Amino acid sequence: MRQVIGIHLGASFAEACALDESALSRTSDPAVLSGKGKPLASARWYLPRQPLRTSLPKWIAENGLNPSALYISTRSLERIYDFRMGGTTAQLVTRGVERWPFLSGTPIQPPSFFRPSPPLALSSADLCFGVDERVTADGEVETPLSLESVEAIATKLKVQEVKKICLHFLHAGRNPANENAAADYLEKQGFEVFRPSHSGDENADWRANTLDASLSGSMEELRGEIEKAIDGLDLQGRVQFATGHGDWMWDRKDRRLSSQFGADRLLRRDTDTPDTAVLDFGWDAWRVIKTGQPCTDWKSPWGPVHQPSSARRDLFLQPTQALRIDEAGAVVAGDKSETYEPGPLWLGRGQKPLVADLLGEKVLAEWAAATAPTRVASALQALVKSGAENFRDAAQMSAHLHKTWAARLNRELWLERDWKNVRVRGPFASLWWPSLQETWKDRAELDETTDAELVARAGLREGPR
Amino acid sequence: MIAGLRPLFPTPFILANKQGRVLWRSTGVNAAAGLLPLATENAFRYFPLQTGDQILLKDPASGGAGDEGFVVVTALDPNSELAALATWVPCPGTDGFKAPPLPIRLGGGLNDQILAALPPAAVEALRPRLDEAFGYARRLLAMPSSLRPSGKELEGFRSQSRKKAKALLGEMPWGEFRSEIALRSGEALRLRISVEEDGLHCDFSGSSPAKEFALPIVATTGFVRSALADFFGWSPFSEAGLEGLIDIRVPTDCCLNDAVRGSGALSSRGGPLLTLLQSALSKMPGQTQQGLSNSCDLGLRLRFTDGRELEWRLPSGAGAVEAAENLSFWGQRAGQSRGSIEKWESAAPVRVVHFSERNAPAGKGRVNGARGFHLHLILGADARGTWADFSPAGRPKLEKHQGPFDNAEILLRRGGREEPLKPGAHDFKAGDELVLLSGSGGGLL
Repeated sequence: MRQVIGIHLGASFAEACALDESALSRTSDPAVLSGKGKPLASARWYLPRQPLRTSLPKWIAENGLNPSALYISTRSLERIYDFRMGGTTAQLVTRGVERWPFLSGTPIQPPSFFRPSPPLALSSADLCFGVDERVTADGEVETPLSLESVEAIATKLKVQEVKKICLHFLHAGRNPANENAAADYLEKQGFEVFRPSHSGDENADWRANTLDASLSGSMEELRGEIEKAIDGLDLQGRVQFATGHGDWMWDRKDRRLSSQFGADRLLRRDTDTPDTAVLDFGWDAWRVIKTGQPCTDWKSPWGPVHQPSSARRDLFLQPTQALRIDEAGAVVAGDKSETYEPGPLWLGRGQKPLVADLLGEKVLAEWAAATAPTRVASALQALVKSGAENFRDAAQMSAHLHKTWAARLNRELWLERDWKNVRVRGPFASLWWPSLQETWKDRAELDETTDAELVARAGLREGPR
Repeated sequence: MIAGLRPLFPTPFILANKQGRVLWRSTGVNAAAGLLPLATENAFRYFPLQTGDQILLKDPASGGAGDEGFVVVTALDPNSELAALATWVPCPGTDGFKAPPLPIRLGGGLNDQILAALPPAAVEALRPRLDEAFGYARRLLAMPSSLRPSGKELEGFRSQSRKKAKALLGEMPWGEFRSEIALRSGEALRLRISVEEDGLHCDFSGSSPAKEFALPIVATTGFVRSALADFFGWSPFSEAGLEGLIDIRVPTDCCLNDAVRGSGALSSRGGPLLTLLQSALSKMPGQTQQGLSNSCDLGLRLRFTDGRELEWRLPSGAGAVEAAENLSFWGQRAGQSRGSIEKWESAAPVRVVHFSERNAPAGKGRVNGARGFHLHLILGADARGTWADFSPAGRPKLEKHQGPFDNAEILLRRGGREEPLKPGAHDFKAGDELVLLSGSGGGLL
């Protein structure tokens, strides 16, 4: 019987699940009822301590697995969105718009009108070059591509050791003649050329293309890590990432950004009823994913990006938000989500107590450092003392905040729209399930399927062999 | 706890009681902060509203949105502190539309006759927002009692926010801070902010009557309230308690209190008022040094002979902020990031020659202000264009640490000659070139 492994890679945690074909049977199938459709094995790893290259082969050996394919969903590249992007990616743009204002990026919600902050850069302005070419809105080539200007730029970029070039020519979707000519020349010169999709809004298309190019270095690192992990296993050429486009890929340069939306697509596909709110209490982020609503644009940190994705929003509470005292003396979760680097106190890293420290003891217990209970207790006690709410102790504070946040979560979800069902999942789901069940009654479902199982199941069903 | 009640709307909204007393306001600097409370009060005054009933308001004098769209007031729980949800809905094609407050939904169904009287593009924009707000009201009513906010909880929120607001004002330095600017259109704006024991007073006495620039008082108070909240970083929690502690005085004969001439597009007219406010507030001791923002957008509308239209509203750059070099217009106008050359060129006979940030920052200094836009167009057909500009004439009086900002400009190139355009209406010919330069923010010296 064919056996596969599914892996979900987050920014700091990974999950793995091994399945065989019996897992595809419907629940009415006697084989499933007798337990044969259940995962053969599963695991989860905290990546800074348990890197994939050692954890995966060890787990495969310990469980005597013999997989024929490895299917991966990932959100691991989200962590680099906060950094400057596109440092080694050049852009060739229709002359006149080479200082394209929308490439500078824009915060979706500026923090303040009078206290603005600099935008996130999506590309390096020094590597943006104007090219003599022009296609009109009717698709007429008004100015044929000047190969001389492309040659001069190519020479310069070779000296600078830039290898990736995005082609951003206006109306290339109406007539790609100039784009084709530039791509042919540059590819012959050994450059990796990125061409955008053409939806009729160049901002959203060019951003997506720039991100595909910018993420390629990180994607290569990720693939390198996976290749090391499967070294010695007979899996070469049989590892695939799920994408938001609905296909699978290992090394497609136009699907790098899309790989970050594969897990959402699988969730959408796995949810039969439209208007279901999937509350995904994942390792790195807590979100509501609206399964009935596929989107063509992703609301990125730089503005709309043309990318098949799911309608989703981050919940008001995130596991990596630091706890703080607010203006009224109350203990609250901070506005900004931190990351697991250095990590919550429970993992023996970090200095500030996070939401995960307050509520996640049971979830994080398997990785808890020996000193963690003392450090967490003293950090929470310090909050009790500094706040104005007169909590008896940290346990009372924790219970109060948990109840308050659960009520807010329920209210927000209730008022957002007429959900037919609420599906609660993820490693932190157990924290919120009792309160959600109380509000949503039989319309709430606790889904214990992990992301790794979801991708393994999808791989078995539809993935390339 | 009350935060869980916020609707997830993209446009400005308030939750309020039926007197228009705000319980929660969405963040952002806008006229809606003044329009929505008045609209709520009027909707309940004119109509015996029940849960889910909705009123459309157009005229700013009664809290409506003016030329840019409608205010929609939706009744929630009329006899509680959570009586209404009011929201601002931009609707294209409704400029010039005059109407009293209209009951668009009473007893559950939408009034199709009213919808039929509106332009299709406006109905397309309006209908989803009406349904969203109606759905919110219906779900609030059906909310399980364990989640529903009690009257005690809402009152507790009000009293806590009131305490917090008093404490915030108590921390402010007492004194008087003045500013004035003259506009290109001929008006003078004057502001005296005083912080005293009983609260914060904004007095616009001495401002001149309207010539071309005008705002109704309700929009003026909206801009002032929301700008103060943004400038001082007041959260919606503390802001809800500030009513009665902020006093805004606007003489009846001045351009900031002109309901007749000020009933047009409101959101684009807040620019000079915001610059005036920032100029006065930056004189307060203890404020972080900042360049003066040019808050006036460049707005140009072109109507071609075949009836096609294009409109640009190019944001100006923000004033420089310490340790934040490379600010852009995005810092203040994130919502306006949707401009697309391919769309413009497909929608009307124009060709974009150049689109970028302006070349030179205006307020050169230790830290530069953010640059505005530079958009160079060639017109492919005759068109009539209207440029409404309310930029300051000359430079407002600056603090020692502030460098000047640049105003918006439009240059017309015709027959080999280039000349600056004056604000107002102009007839353009096919082949004319327009260079649109939105303002840049002031620097820090």
